[in-house]
Amino acid sequence: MKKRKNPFLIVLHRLIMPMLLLFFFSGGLFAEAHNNASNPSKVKNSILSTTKNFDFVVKGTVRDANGPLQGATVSEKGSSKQTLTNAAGEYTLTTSGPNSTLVFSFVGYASIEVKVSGKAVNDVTLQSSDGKLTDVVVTALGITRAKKSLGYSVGEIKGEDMNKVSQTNLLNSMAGKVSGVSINSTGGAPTSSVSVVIRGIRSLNTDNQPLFVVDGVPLKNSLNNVSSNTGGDNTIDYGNAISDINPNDIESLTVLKGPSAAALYGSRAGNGVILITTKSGKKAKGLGVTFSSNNEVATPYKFLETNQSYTVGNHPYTSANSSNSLDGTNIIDLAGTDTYRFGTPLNVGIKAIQWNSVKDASGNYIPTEMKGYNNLKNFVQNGVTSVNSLSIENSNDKDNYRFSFSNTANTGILPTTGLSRNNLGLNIEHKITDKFKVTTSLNYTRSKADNIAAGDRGGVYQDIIYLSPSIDVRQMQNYWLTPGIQQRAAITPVDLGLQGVTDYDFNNPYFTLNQVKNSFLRNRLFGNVKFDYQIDKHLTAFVRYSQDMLNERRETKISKSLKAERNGYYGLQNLFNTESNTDFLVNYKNNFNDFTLSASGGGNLQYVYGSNQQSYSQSGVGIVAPELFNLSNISSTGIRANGYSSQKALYSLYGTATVGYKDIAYLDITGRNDWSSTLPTNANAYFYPSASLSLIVNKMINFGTAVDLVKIRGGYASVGKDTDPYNLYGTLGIGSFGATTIQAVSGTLKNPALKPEQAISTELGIDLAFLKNRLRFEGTVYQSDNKNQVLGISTPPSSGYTSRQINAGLVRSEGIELQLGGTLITNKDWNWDLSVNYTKNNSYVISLANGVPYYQFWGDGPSGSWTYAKGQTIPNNFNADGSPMISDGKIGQIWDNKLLTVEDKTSPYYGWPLLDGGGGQQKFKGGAFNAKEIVGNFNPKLLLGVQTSLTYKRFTLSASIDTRLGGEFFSQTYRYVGSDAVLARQMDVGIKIPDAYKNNIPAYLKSNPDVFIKMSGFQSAHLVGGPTKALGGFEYEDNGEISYDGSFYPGVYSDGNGGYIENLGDPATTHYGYYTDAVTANWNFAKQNMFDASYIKLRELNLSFDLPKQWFGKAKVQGVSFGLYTRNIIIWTKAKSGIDPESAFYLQAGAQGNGSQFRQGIERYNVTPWTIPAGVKINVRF
Amino acid sequence: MKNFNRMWVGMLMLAFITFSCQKFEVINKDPNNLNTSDAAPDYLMANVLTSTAMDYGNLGSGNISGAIQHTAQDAWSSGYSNYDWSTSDWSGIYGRLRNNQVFLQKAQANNWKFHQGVALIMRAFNFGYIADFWGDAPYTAALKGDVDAAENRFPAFDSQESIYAGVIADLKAAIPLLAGSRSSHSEITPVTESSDVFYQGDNEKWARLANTLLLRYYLRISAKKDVKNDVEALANKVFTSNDDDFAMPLPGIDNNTSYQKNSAFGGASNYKRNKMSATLVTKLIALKDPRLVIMAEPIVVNSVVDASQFTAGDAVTLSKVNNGIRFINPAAAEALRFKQFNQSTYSTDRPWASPIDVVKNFYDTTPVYVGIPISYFGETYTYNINGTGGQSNSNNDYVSYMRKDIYDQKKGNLLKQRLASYNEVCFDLAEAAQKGWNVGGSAENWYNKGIEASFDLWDVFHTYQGDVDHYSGCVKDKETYLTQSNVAYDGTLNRIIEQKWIASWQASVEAYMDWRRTGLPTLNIGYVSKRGAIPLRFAYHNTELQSNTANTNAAINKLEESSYVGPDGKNSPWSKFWLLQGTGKPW
Repeated sequence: MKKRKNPFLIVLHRLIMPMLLLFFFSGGLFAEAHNNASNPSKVKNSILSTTKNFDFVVKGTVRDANGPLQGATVSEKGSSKQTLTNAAGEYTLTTSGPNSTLVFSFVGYASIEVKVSGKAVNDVTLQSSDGKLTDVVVTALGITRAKKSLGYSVGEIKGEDMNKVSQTNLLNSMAGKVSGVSINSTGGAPTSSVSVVIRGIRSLNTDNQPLFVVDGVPLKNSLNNVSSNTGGDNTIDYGNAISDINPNDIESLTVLKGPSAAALYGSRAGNGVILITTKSGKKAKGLGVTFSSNNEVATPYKFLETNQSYTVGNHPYTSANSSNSLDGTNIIDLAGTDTYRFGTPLNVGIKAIQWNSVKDASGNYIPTEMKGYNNLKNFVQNGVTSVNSLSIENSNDKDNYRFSFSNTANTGILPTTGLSRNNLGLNIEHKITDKFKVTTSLNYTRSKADNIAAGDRGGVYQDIIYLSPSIDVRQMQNYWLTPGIQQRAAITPVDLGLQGVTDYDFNNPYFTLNQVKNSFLRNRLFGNVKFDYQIDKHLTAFVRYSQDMLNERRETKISKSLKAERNGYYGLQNLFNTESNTDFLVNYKNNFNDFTLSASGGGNLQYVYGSNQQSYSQSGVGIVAPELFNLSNISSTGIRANGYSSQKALYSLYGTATVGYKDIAYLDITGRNDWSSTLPTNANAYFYPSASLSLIVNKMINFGTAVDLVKIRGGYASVGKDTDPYNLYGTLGIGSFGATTIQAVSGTLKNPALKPEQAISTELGIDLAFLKNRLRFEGTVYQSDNKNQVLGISTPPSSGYTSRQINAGLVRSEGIELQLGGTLITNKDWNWDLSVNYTKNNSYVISLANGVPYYQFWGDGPSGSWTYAKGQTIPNNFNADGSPMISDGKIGQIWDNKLLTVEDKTSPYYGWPLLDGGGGQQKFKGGAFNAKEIVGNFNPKLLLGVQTSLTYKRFTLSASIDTRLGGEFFSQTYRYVGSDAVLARQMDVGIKIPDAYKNNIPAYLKSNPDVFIKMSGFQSAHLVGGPTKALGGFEYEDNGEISYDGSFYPGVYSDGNGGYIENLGDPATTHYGYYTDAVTANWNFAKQNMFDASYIKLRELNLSFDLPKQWFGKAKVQGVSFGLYTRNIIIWTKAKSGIDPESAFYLQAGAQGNGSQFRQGIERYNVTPWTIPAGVKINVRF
Repeated sequence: MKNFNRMWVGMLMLAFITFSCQKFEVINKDPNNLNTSDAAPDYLMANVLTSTAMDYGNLGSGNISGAIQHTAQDAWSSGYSNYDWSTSDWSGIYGRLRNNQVFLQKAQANNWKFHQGVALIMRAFNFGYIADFWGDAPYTAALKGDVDAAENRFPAFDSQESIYAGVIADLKAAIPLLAGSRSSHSEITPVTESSDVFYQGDNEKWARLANTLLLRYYLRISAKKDVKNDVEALANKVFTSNDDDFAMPLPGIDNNTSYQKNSAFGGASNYKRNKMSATLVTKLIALKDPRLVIMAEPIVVNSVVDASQFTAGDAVTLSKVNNGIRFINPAAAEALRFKQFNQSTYSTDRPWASPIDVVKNFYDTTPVYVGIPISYFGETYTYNINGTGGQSNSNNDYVSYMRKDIYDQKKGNLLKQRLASYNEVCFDLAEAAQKGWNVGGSAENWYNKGIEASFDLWDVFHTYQGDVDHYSGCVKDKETYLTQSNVAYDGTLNRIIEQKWIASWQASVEAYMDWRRTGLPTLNIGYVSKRGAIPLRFAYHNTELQSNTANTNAAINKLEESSYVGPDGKNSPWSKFWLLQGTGKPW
């Protein structure tokens, strides 16, 4: 930590920018002078124009609705004379005479013919062609292209489509709108991380997040935003900072899905690129002011279905229960204890002395009636979000600017939580000369949350869920027993002597919420300054310097008496990340007869630095004085500090060329070479090319007038990727044991011979449009092979090292994306658009390293996700015909322990559960890793998104719906709370025995062994019995009490001599336990807690209305629109588990090795109640 | 003009290329860690010593203490008390050995003899640990992951027998390196002293430790090898007093440096769920052993069976508390099939895994100290008719906790991570003498010395004399203790091992090893014991099995399945490895 920055690099960076500018200015100005004074070609031209009388020089400007168009073709009809417009949209063409006809054309626009008729100045405005397919899109390096000319698929969302419905998190507004893109949010709060994965898992060692580029500034984004800085569970998701971008500032968003599209962005583009262009003042016609206001209320409506009928008890209720009774008449509620059994029935008139009972005049506690409460519901509140934005824009010939300010204030459904954010944006463009332009874009965001509720175990939802339903959580709001020292838990009155004051299993939820404070303050500043210069009519160039700076301060304050940190906690963390890019690009554009050529070449210097400094109290040691949260309030033996910093540099040169033939074919080629500091110095350079082709078939073959477009496209790309800093050489860590200094050799083997990774992708697609573009179709198939991935693979611990960095493997991702759009109705008053997109992706591990048969993504409890490479035999898994299962390599499998069954096929008990000596279900081979079975896959079978928009005059109704079908997830919430009497479903899972069989249960069970004895699928339990007599429980004696929560697992157990004894309910041979669904089986197997992840969601529903201008009379109002919206309403889930399948992701703190903290197909306490938001949006333009 | 433009564009590119080729190695130098080559031997040593002490010490005062029936946990205790041993991961041990290897290499490169001796002993100790618990394991091919070759990536297993031979060879090799006066070892600096958390750089004590561990390992393999001459040669080189003990005091600063059962940093249950095992309590009461007072907390409420306290004919009310005494109703007890706990009949009163409940449950009216029977059926925190609390917060007034003022502490004079002790040496030599070997004293002599050393170690007749005097169930001095008929040496191995078992309190690994080797002392099996027998080994863990499959499977195939392996197959805690194969022990 001595040296953070390499001084050479600082100097380099200080020098490079002025140097480049100097080059640029001198070159540019010099060239300018050159042009005017001594350009021989120009002189020659002017001589020609005077000597040849027939020539007629025409000048003018070509514009579209938004302003000047650069690169438009101006040609003379019936002649080969043509030229291109410059950056100001200007052209000069020498024509054959004053009566010539000019043709103005530009891809994506309808061509215009203009008769010169002697006019020396001809300005034209081109209209963009009808329909959406001919739109111009922003592609790599900010190059604007006609979509038609692209040989690869890009997704595009217009800013207005993203902002119809207000989203505090930019990424959420992309959900369901672009095929091939899957968006998942891990929690309901605006501060939650959001994952964006384009075309499925491609990399085993990263979080597969795309690169974000805003106005040319690459922005750091990752999902590693979770930390659990205390010894106890306090897992906090600080969210990904990319979501701080102000959605209101977005002009357009382009998704470059495949490496062909993104190849020019290099290393980081392997998972796709999301290009964001912010609004500028270019479009403004004079001064414009826009004010918009969104206000929204989110009402919680669906909660995890918890047991509200019984206390969570030590023992089932009996009227003379020795431990639950105090003097035989009044019952003490032992609520709040973490035990397995359903206790006293609620809402049936039983009175008891409860935790909150008061004394009567004679000093005796007054029993009160025991009732059940829905504490989840009672705890949460309506969330409120307000977003107010103001933007001012202006433009004139020389300058344009846009300034914006936006304030977001959110209050979460958990009191005290929320987010507040201010965004400032400024875009300025200034033309120094007609050919020389400077633009700058600056964005500043300050976002802040005072309290983020911890997730996972230890979060406030866990405390609420575990609260016995007989306790009304609302009565616990006065959460201090001794302020600053001891929280008040819902426990039996102390003076009854049954429990000590500190004996609580879970915290008072209000204490957890208010006294475990996790806050952050994030400042992000990014922007660039760019100089564009038009060297001549064919050649333009720019140089740009961009900077992204992110500073985040996190603070955690925990008061004394939190169960997991009894002595309190204080921690402060400072994160700083910066990235600078200095790049230049030279563009050349020209037309040669029927061919058009556009070529660009450039380079980039990238420098990245990050640091993380942390000071905190050692877990368990805590703070000294209560309620003072300051580093000086931590004892000298209890304070800890650590820091980490890293830097890397990447230098690149790249080039691209597009050749177009007529309007028929376009060929793109690109090449890029990178030099990375993270690779071995003798092998740090790598080159990668790409090529793509677009054929407009309808220009070759006439399909008739109904066909507007038939385009076939295909692309090939290779992308190289470096690795993280410091992956080459082994290191030695320093720590302490008490006062003794210790050193440790890292157990991760680095690799001094790492090679760059390589992704090779191909895609093929077809775009169709019919009936004047009213029916549109796009289809793409793709395949992407990622080779030489830098993987941290597990090594045998006996080798002395636990993981090794290797270059290995081939991961293949392949899929289909379809998009169908139609304008169903369009006339003067009505317009109805409908678009459907479909995504299907599969990723495969084709090969790994020698001796490494599989790759593990995660393991949790009995479950996990790992994939055997294609062709590997999967141990202990068999096909239906009994043959060993050979892996197809498909990523996403979820595994579970196998149930031990009778394996002797000749036995009448074949396939029955083989129970242990105590009647418990057993794991096959003790649950050894290679004895588990595949029970599910976390990938969806398909994703379908539907957007529709219906306009009638000034009213527009739009909706976005998305559907996920297939795939499973493992709910650790269900497993955890299911081992205690918490879930409603646990009350009634036993096999029902009809009255006729009450005395011959074995006969009943044997009547249908496939259903009652053998197990299959995701059965929630497989036992006979119940938690109470009424619910089927058997008589059961425990510690001298007769209760009726006995139950047993159907099956057989060994008689010790090779035979079996039936455990089917015959009292002489059956092993009973108390109602154990909750315990053994729930804990040992994941199947009980696995769910189908299919869902249908109403992402957005919006009704907007444009107010007629005349309503405002002479007021300077240009337009007012008014909208009502709602979003993210879960319409249907197949599992009905009360858990949003979209939240079936687990962000784990500190997860290393696999590169990502983001685990798919598993959920842990993501039980935020579902909400219905309802919002109003008003937009006023002056 | 165009040429000019191209020229400066070219220059720009050139500038990029020139800049891009420099100083990458500087940028990519990790500013957060040292290079492995910069390792300081003393700090590596401190790492190896402290991590060995915490790991092995916690095993001795924790899980193995449960296995050997010294203590019991009454919540989340299926592994601790019911012998439901899941597979065990040796990653920590091999990780430590990785550091030790660099430590040894550095010490050899510097020609630092003391450090080499310590490194050899720690290598022997940790590989001995692996061989003791798992059996066959990578040894000669281990720890070479940094040397890139296929055979290093997937280390082959060595036989348990050859690992023991290597352990003995390392210990022998360490002794001459540690010889000589302290002043002759200039490599021992003040940093060495503070890094040596066991002996503060005392080379002579390390040499005695090497000999002591040799004695341990010769006895370990004595059923398979003739070790008489080796043991006889050691007799006067081993520990000579409690001061020689291989024990690390605990810093007690945070959870990682404190006694594992204290509740200062974590929840109260960390201490509260630790109770006394009935097996040990019953034995100590029978021996009138005063060490019980430094182990256990007296129960809060004594119980008596007294029909007169209940209404005649009441066969429902099992118990009630009156004036601080809990009365048990014999009529209700009979009706509910409750029985007074009896250590000698426990295993037959409720036979293992029998579905027929002749005796449904137990109570224990023993005064002052009550332990929990091994593998007790049901929610263990309810043992002895306790009605309150749950898994993590039970207050059981009828069962003995571990003594709170000693064991609910971060550190203490008695709370050390004890890895080898003088009393163990005494009992080892008593056993050798009992076999008729010449070890410089009679079996009885060494046996008595061992007991006395244990009393001294636990301060029984010094600091805790007052408590000893107060407890009527024990003798008040060493001499009386030693002359009792059930204590006095009677020529049997049983007696030696029984006392060694008691003396291994909080350092119980050796007691477990002795039980496995000799079947002594007789331990119980309870109704919900996982397989009806105490396990013999740790099963290979997935971490090795997953990444070194072929070699691990080859080792598994060499294991001998016992009738208790159940569905585990050969990789079972109930399989026998080389050390036990053919010995007929412990069962």
